[in-house]
Amino acid sequence: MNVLLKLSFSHLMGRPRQTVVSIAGVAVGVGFFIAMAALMQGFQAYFVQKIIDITPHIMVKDEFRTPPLQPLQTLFPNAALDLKGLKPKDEKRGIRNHARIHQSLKKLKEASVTKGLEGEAFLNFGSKTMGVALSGIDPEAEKKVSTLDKDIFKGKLDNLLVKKNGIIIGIGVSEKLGLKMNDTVTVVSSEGVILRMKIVGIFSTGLTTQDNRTTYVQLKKAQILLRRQNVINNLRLRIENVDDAEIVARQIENQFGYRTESWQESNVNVLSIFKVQNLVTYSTIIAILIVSSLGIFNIISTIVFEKSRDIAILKSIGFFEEDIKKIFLVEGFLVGIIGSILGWGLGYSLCLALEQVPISVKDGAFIRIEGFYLLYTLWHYSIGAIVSITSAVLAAYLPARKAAYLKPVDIIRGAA
Amino acid sequence: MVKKNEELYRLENITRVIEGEVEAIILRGISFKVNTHEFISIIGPSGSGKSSLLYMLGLLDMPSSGDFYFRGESMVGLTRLELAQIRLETLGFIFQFHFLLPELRGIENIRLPMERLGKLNVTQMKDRVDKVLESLGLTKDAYKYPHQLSGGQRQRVAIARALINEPMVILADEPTGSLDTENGDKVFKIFQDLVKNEGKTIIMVTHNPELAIQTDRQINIVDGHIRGE
Repeated sequence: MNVLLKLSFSHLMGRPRQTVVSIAGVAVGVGFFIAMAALMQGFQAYFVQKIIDITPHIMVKDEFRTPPLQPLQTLFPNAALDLKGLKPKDEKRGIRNHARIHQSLKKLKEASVTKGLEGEAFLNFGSKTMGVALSGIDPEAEKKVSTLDKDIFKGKLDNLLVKKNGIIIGIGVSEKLGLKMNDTVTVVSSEGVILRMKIVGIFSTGLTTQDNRTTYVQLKKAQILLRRQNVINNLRLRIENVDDAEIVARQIENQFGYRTESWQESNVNVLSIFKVQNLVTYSTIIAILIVSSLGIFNIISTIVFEKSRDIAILKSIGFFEEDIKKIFLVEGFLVGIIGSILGWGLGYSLCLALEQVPISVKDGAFIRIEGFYLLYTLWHYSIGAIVSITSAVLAAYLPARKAAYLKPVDIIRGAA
Repeated sequence: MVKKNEELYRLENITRVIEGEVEAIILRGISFKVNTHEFISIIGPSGSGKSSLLYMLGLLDMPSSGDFYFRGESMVGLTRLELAQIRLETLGFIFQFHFLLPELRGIENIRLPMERLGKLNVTQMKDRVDKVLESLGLTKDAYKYPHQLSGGQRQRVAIARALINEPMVILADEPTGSLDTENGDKVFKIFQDLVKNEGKTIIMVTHNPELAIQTDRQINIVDGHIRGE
């Protein structure tokens, strides 16, 4: 073994208690980082997965991102225009030419598409009334676009095909109104149409907004309820590679003009919260690592002070300042790497322990979860180790520098 | 072996002032020469500046003014790195206390300068170490740690460490100061051998007039001046 390395080792071995505390500091930092990151990003990944499963990846809406240009504006694009008393045209809502758009979207590779009509309605059952989002769907195509079929735990999606006046409700709606399978509920649409419909399915997605609000009926029924024959107001797509959703959405919007939202855009509020969350996770870890760096700084400063005579001897022999520095930087490195390896173990154990914790968040929460979802990725382990080893070496740098520039004469004279 | 009677050190009007709250003048105008194959003792009362002079000869300290030549080259203005390299190749230090690194075995202490220099291969290093250990009667105890050795053995390990790179000059600061008479005589005997048989130059600071008188030259320093030889 290299003598300098042996010196580094034996310096640390000479102060076992402080060394153990320093290593423990790093291990705790790395361990907690791994556990926290696994927890945070595990939850985020679970949430994103839910969004991806339940909501469409891309949704073409019957809206435009910018209001249409006035004829005068198209005529004189560079003129300053001040229009007063403008009355918007009372246009019929809905996606025009939807059959053609639907056909061309069907041709997209690695994508499934379905059309639907959404509107507002009230459900009356006994003395209770509840406002819901009414979603008219094509049950066959729906299976390819969302996981609704799998989320239905009572009844099934195909019931909509069999029972023309069937309605599928979320578990939240079912609980609030006290509706059970095969109950008959009165549906009053925002257009004033009243239909009596039968519960043919109850679903539970885990996303509270979905479970408490959305109800599904056949597209035809929705068109009747909302008085919009042959009209649809959304086209929903599911694509193979969810990360491409934004790009594909932009292409569709450019081609057809209708506002097209990717799942990222629709959930931008939640996704931006995740960014803040990650920031908090990382700052906590940095704080823990700063504390453990102080421990490393402390022990190495002590060693430098204690071993100043040895340093003087090495320098009088002819060792370079860089050699001396190396001894102490290696000590920081050793503490960092041993701490990191122990921290890996600690982090993994914490993750395993967290997985065993039963928690149940149901009512009123944004998302329904049972237990923690943990994300296991080598990334967390590498980031934890790299950051802690780097900070350990940095913490060792100051005392190492001090050691390197000690004047041997001062020390030998003092010691003799 | 180094040629006899060549100029090794030439000091001209060297002063050393330590600046601080109170300015301390340690050396006040010292001039002398040292030739190869000389065994010189520096004597003088405590605080006279003799150790400071020795450290300067060992390139651990530089004069505040004056000219300082080693092997015909001026040492003033060299970088710390250059000085360290010269120390490594040509100088060996022996102190009053053994100053061995307690974490390393005797043999590891001895090998330190050689490994730092890194000019020999593994077999050459082993041969060199074996030779030095044998000449100092340390073969049996080479693998002991310093705390397992007696005072005399420790000082001999320190001497072995000073000799391992075959330096031209040995600088010794009270090398027998912490030893009993018997061990002190042994060390002194080794020094005499080194000068006579291996052509080393030894400069030794000592308090012991009996030893000093047996060296080739005595430089007497009082109050930072050379009082006489």
